[in-house]
Amino acid sequence: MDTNTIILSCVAGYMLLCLVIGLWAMKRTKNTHDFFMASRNLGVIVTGVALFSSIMSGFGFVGGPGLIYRMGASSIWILVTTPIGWALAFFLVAKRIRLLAEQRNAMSLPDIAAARYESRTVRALVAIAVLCGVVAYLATQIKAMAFVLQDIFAKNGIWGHESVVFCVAISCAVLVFYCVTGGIIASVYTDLFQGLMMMVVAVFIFFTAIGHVDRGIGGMMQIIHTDNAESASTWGTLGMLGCLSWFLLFTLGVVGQPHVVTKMMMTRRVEDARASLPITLIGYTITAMLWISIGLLMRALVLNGDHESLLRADDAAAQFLQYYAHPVLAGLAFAGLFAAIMSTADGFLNIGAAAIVHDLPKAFTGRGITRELFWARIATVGLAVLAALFALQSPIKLIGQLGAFGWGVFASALVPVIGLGLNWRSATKRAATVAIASSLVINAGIVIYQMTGGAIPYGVAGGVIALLVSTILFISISILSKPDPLAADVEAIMEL
Amino acid sequence: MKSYLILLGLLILTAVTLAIAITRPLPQDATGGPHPSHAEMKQGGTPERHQGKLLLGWIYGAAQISLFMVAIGISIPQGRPGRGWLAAGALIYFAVFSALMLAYAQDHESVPFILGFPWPTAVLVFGVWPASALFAILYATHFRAWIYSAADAKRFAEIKAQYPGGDTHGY
Repeated sequence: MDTNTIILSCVAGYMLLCLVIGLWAMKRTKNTHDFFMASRNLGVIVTGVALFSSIMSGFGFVGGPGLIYRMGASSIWILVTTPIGWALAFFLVAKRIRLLAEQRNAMSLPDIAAARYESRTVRALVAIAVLCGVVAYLATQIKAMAFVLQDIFAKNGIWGHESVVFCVAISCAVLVFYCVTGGIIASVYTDLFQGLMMMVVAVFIFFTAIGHVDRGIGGMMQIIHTDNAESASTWGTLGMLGCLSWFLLFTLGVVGQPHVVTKMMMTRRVEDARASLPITLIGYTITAMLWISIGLLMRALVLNGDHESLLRADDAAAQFLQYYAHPVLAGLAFAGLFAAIMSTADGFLNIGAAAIVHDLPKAFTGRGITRELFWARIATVGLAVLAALFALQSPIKLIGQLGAFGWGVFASALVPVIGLGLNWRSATKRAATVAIASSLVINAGIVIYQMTGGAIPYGVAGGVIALLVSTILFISISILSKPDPLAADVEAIMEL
Repeated sequence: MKSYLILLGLLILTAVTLAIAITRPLPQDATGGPHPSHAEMKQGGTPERHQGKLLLGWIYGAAQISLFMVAIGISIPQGRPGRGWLAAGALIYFAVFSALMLAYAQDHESVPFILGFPWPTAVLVFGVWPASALFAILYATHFRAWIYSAADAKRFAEIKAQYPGGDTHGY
């Protein structure tokens, strides 16, 4: 069996397993509470692994090595931020969101925001911010899946390989099937399988990669340093301000990721957060080894003249797997790549569907809709189709910008409103409204500015500006306003 | 309220430092430049691109670390024991970040390699990275003291009993 056939078999096997998990989860999904909240019955390991695999997306498996190839040591800053980012998310959010979810039987992040601020406007704005980010992010994930599948099909001479539409359809069909049938239960259990698979693959890839250069990582760094010392130094090619801006955005940003904090509502017990955090952190750190080792190896090999220049930096992972990994490892890694993308995308589909069928109707009419589970499934399909069309119709440059827009919106809208708001009694609904609205406007403005050729000096990420402005507005307005009355149960929970 | 004033001050300090930094004249290689031989690869230029900006960078980074520490601090209810550990963790984090800035500011001609990385990058990988994991360890080890004690669990059960179904007011 040749390499391409092994890769295709691994990917097909992986997708088949996702379908099986979807069917298994369907039997356990009886109502919307199961569909969106997994009946708040997730164990420690499932939650811990699902959390890290939700955030280690296609960006980590494809974009991460590509970033090191392009920028040298700069992207290590994204990884360095992760432990403190996870710690902040758990300190600020995990306990109170879980307690509020149980007390109010909440099914979504906007449910929590509505309970905390007693405001339909805040509920609507959180739902809109979630939807904007979800569509943008989903489009990037679907496009990433389609590109990888197209490459695999092309190498195997399979019909339809020339069609991105065909690849998008295949990728979305599997994703939608298990998300529609099994809701969040299918999502978290595929996340569990996907996360474990990513960890195993990352370990093997790390040791494979360091075996290709004398003195392993040290040898790679020496080659990169000899070519250009700054590329191997602390700030890489991006420079100090760009790296330190990533430090802020990616650290605080974790607190505002709705597909992450929503999973904190689903644990069986409040106390489970204690063990989930180390599991999440260990999982993320292990998978980060893939990011660093492939990126450094490919940059070093190309600089040393041992490998041809890459046509696209994002090809670093694919080229490594094709030329330097054992065929079985390459097959598992491609399946792991799909796992990384799908584990992020399924979480987005679920929270996006909740925003459409659960939160927006409640925000605008004050009550929920009938047959919510049926409409949740329809909304999941609709959202995937919308994101797929978006991915197909948008130029590649816009797709990249939308990914940054998604992270920026989540961070700047939800860090103050959820991260700080759940801890601060004096935070007001007016402050929450202004913070979310400003984050949407600023992030959209930055995307338009960058699409029309503008650039923020020193490589500073646009999301940082939106995050700083929205959080400063949130705290200032809350300090200057009279505190809103809170529901007695919410106030009591906030004192815990 | 006092903690949030500090938080606001730190956010403003971070924003002002960033604003001052990005409005300074932009060196040609501020964010690197194209590699002469490999189209998709960038080079970082020379360390001179950061000349006169390192102090600003230290303030920018230190303000962020303070921000993270205050944020963690406000999530722990008043009067919980063992907060000294959080202060110790914060000091270690500051020290390691400062060491990173110092390591980068030193002579660039003869950078020693430590554990496979140039000295400043080694501080980032083996210093800043593990130091930030310290707070996750503190979360797990101090969970009962800081986050959710037996008394909290008892109080939550009382809240649930007192407000069955929630005091929703229609929200």
